[in-house]
Amino acid sequence: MKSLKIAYRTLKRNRRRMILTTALIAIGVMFVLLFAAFSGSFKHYMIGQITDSMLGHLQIHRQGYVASLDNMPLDKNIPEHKLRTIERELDAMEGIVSYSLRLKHSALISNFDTSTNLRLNGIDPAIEHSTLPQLRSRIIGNADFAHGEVLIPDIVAKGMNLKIGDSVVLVVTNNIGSMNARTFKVAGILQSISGPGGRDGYIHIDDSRSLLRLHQNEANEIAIRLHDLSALPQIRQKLTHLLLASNKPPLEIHGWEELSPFSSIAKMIDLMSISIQIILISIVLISILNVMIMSVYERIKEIGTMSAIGTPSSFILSTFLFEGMLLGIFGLVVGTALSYGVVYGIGDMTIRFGRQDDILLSPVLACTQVAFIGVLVIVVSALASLYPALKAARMNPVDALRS
Amino acid sequence: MIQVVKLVKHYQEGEVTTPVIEGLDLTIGDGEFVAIVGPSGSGKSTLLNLIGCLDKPDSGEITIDGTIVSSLKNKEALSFRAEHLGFIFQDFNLIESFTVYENVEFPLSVILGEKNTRERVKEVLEAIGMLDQIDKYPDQLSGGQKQRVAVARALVVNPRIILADEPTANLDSVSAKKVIDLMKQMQEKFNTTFVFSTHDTKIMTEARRIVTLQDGRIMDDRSNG
Repeated sequence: MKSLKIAYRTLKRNRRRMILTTALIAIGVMFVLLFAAFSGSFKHYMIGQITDSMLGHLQIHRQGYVASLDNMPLDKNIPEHKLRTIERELDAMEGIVSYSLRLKHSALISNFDTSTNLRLNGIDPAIEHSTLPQLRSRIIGNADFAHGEVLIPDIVAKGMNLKIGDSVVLVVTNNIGSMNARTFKVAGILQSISGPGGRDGYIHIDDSRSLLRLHQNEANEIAIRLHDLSALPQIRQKLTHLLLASNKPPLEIHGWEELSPFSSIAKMIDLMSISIQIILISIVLISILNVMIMSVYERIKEIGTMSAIGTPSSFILSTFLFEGMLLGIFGLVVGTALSYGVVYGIGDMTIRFGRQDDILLSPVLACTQVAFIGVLVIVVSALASLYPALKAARMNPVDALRS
Repeated sequence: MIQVVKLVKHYQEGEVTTPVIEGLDLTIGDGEFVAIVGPSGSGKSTLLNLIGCLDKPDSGEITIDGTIVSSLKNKEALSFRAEHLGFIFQDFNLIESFTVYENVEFPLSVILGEKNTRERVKEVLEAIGMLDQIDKYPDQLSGGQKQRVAVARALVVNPRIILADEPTANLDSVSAKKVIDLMKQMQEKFNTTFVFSTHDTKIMTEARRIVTLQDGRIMDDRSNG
């Protein structure tokens, strides 16, 4: 404890240097924690929106469907008998909250004045809402639309000047080239979000089948919601084992990361977070190393005296180690306190990302992240102090006293 | 008792070898108050460093109370210094972040690991007349007061020998006289052997024995009064 006392009092004596070093480390800690809090919140929001209002956690398709998704192929539908098999397996499997059958196809939408292309999802609204609990929040109007009604994306509504209650005609072409059209009522307008399917419209799956003149209850996509997103790899593995065993027709299973380009952005955010942590390590390492080398050179005579009067080198070593670690701890405490202050001071905030201008960020400082940064700073502080401390501990007393 | 036999020490700097101690023989008895004098470069500090186990001779032998200290390994030398020797330095070399009390207590509690140190520290501080300054830090003391604390720090472990390298060099003449008087008092009170180096003629006359060095050899060794 005496070495800790010397370390603390030495820092107190060199108050200006301590404040400057502490401030530098505190800024680094704050930068890392705030980046983690804001980027984490952004990631959480985006992933939540993508999985809870668009993709679900897992999707099952017929093999090759995802690769040709841009063409909205209708020759890769899953036949009814296969759908029944899949449904049985999904109903029996633990960890699945809900799943929704979808029939995705393209259509021409007309308001009797202008027309445009539209990607449509034929769904059962009640089942889709239980699979995508946030979908309802994107809908202005009647989220529980009925047969003969359509939800259109806001971008189409604006372009065609459509309002809720307006009539539109949907024209579709089926897989043998036969065209069909029907009048639908606009039941609601969907807020667009980033990612595939973020600007799709919705009609009832029965209407899709009727428009496409399908004689069987086919679907080309099954979206699955899990109880726990972290269980995705295990459930995916189980599903792969169960569903891919019977090979007619071959199926494929994808996680949300493979279906959304945002997963690349999420990986980039993680990479940036690591880069910022490396910058923090450099800041702590360089600033503490610099201060501690200065401290050793300033106190050469003190070290020489201690050594001359018989002080064990382990005591001298621990004095300098404690000094560096205390600097790191002070910086850590100040940086963490400031980060909490900033996070609570700012609270929730709305930002714009891509075409979305109302992304709500609720930054939170995760205890695990704070603990990780704490351990990192303390370990790096100790490592940075080690070289100067060893130098002090191994100093020849005669040379030190003569300096 | 300190016995120095045929001591040789050279310093090597690059390819240049500088002889510092050249075949020196010296015996200092228990409780002596000895001044090592001589011009700069005569080997005073080197001799004290060698006796104090801070440095190793190239050849020759130093024995303190039957222990051949010149052949001790680093760790053995460290504990020998802690238990048997006291040091006083020209620049006082107190731990700046410790109070007077903590500086004096340091060798007892940290080095020797003793628990009940308060009485001993107070006894020594009272003996040197610094009991009323125990809570002050070194930067609040005068040079003379700092050196008194350094004397107390050397005395507190009750060493057989105290080695002082130019203890008065950074003091004015009044403070220097006070410090030397204090060392003499302590020598009488605790029967500690004091060996100090100086080139101050006024100070050297305070010693009971004066050993004069020149070019690493003893030129003169005489009793003083």
